[in-house]
Amino acid sequence: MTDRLRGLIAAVAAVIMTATWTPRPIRPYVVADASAKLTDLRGVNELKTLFNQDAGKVRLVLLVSPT
Amino acid sequence: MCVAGTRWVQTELLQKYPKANLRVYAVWFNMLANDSRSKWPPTLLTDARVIHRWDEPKTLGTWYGQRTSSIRLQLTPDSKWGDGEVLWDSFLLYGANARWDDVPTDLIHWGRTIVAGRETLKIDFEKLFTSKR
Repeated sequence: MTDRLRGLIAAVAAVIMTATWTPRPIRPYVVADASAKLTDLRGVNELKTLFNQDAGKVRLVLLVSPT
Repeated sequence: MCVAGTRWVQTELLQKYPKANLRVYAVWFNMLANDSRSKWPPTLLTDARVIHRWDEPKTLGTWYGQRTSSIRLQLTPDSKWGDGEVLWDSFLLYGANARWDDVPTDLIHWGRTIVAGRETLKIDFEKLFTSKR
């Protein structure tokens, strides 16, 4: 294979790669919710309702203060 | 300590098990002198599986605090709790089959503080979600 042919093949390959390459979106590893909201708890019964609606999922209750 | 504990939950559990079929209820309330709703840290627990609630009258902490004697067997070995009035800086982990009628069933472990009980919680997550990492 001549140098000229090698160069031609490389050039064609470069054109194809450029034409078909599309950037992959950068996906965060974490499933983040940028719209995290804090709303008032309407009593124990609200948590009870949420808890039972989420049956089938493992559930973790955190009782925390903000500082 | 609560901030350290919740940060640990975010980085060591939620980020490491992004596919786990899990719901987290983060119930916030005042316990320390400087606590207030305005100091809620919105960037601390950002996972979409977390539901945040503000509990000004400490309803849930009081509810659990009155019942800890009945769940003492599930308290993690590293935790300490003297059956106080308001349970806080604490976690309670329930299995997928849990159901809440009078009280929630299928409690796997609970811990206080979150930091103190974190090794048990970490092991529980490994058992529950090893294939979900």
